[in-house]
Amino acid sequence: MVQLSKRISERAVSVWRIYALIRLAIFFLGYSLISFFLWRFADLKWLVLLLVVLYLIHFSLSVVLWPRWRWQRWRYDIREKEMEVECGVWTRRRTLIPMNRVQHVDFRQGPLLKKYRLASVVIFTAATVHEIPALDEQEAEQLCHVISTFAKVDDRDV
Amino acid sequence: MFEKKRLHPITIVSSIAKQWKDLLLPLFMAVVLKARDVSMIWNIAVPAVALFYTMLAGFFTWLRFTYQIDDEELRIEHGVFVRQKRSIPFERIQGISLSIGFFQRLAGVVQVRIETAGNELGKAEAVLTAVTKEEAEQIAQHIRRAKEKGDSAEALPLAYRSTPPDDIAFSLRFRDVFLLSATSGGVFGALAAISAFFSQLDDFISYDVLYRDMQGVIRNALDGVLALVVLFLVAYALSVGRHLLRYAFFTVQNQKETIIISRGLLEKQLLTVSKKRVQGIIMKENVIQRLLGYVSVHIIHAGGSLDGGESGSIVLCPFVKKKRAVSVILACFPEYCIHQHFQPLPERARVRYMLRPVYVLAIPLGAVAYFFRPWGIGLLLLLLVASYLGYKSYQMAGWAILGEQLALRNGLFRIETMYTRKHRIQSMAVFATWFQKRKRLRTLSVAVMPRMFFKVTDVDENEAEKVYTWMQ
Repeated sequence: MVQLSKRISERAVSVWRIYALIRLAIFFLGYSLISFFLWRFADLKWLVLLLVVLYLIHFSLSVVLWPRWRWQRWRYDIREKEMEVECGVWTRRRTLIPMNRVQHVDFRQGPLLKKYRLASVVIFTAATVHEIPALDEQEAEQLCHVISTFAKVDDRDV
Repeated sequence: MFEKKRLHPITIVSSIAKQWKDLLLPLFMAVVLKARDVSMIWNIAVPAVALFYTMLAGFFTWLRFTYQIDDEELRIEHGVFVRQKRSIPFERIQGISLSIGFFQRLAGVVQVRIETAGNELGKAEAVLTAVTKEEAEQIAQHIRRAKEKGDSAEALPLAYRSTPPDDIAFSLRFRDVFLLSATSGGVFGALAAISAFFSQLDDFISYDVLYRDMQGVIRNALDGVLALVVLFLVAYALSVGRHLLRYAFFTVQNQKETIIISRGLLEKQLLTVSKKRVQGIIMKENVIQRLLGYVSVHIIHAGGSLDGGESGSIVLCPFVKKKRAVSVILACFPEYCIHQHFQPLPERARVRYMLRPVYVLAIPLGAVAYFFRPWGIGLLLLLLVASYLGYKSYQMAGWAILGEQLALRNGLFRIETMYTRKHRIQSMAVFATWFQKRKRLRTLSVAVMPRMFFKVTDVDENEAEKVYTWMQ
């Protein structure tokens, strides 16, 4: 299959890293709680060491590598008749959505995305929801407009 | 004609009965389990308050529910504290289902369920619990008139009147209900229910005593077998009863724009489905049914669950010979072609299919086998069975494209074949895990309804691409 042409904004990597950091901070609590109990009550020091190593691997994967990989693999394409989305690091998934199945489009922007001048576009069909995350603000707005002009749901097909 | 009306007062009784039915088990538990220390509050006041509350609630819900049929729309107001108003234009109504339950029969009324083409599938439904037959007929006529006025000349006939039975496409034979109960696995469901019931009663029946008595009764293995046979017969009878209630007098009428399905023994149900809203057809067959050459046919219907089953799926034929199923579908939906020529999966997918059920079972079975040594080891033979099932599943799985039609088939215990048409598909995805990519395999997934995805795993890379480009 031909590779899709459009990519999402590279600033997505930074945003995803921040999200991962927040998640890992919560995980840190869990890790340290377990470590504390292991150290204090069970005296299993080697297990604690293993946990520390595990945490470091977890950290480097989810904060350093994963967002980069995810961004690299995120692609999409919008054409008059259909749109395509391709994503996924471990599981590569390519989805085709015929334009006349699109029911409505959402423009979404959380505080963090806003700070980075990014926005997500969410596409709804009668059966599924698809999100293109972290596009450049202006691009996202434009995309919403383009999709809604292309999308004219045929009444017969719902 | 335009006045606000209330439902027939039998609604109060039926809603109270329904709530009591739901309350019965928790109340029973609460009262009887605490029976050791009898207290007035717990044993009498709590149930009394609960029952009284449901009666009040039933009455006021009925009192505050009004409906109004005018020329263009059906207006419903309801809500005891927060009033809700809903108006449903007749021309937007997509399906209507009538049912006559126990209470409805007592009062000589019918229940009307209405389904519209709302965006939120399965939610835009209105239920009129008890209206007179004349009113139901009137609603149906309004719908018909509104449809005729609109651009589409679609009529939604209400088959409530005894329609001439010349358009019957399918009816379930009485003896098939027994076969259906025997083969559908409902027996095992009933067995599970029976055992669950007895385990619930654990606190009341002292099994130790019972067991000692039983030992007196069951002197030899033959009696044990007999007891087992009796248990199975009871389970089978329960299953037959359940299926009889649900599927007795099951008939499908095929009209120009609609399908009318009527069924039920105690609770009569009649539902009208617009053919335009049918997104696809599924044929299901489990291992036993497959051996006998029987299938069940379901239609994927864009809309709420009119027949009270799982949303989006309506039973067209509960149990039918495969050949007959093909002709029924052809009669009702001529645009579909039910065939058996499926593109098989590549050979390199076979190992994956044979190993997949083994992965899932290996750990639990291994653990059980370990704890019940040495005889437990025999359980590991089940892994071979699972692997064989996986092999069968590999042989069955496949896809087929025929003009505008896509068919997907998969399943382990129950083979499911889905036929849909290109313009019904909402989105299509092709994906691959790292392992699949290494073997140049893909998973094909098609969405036709919310929460209804059909997948075929391990399709050849190039063939998956072929299906994908067919969609473009």
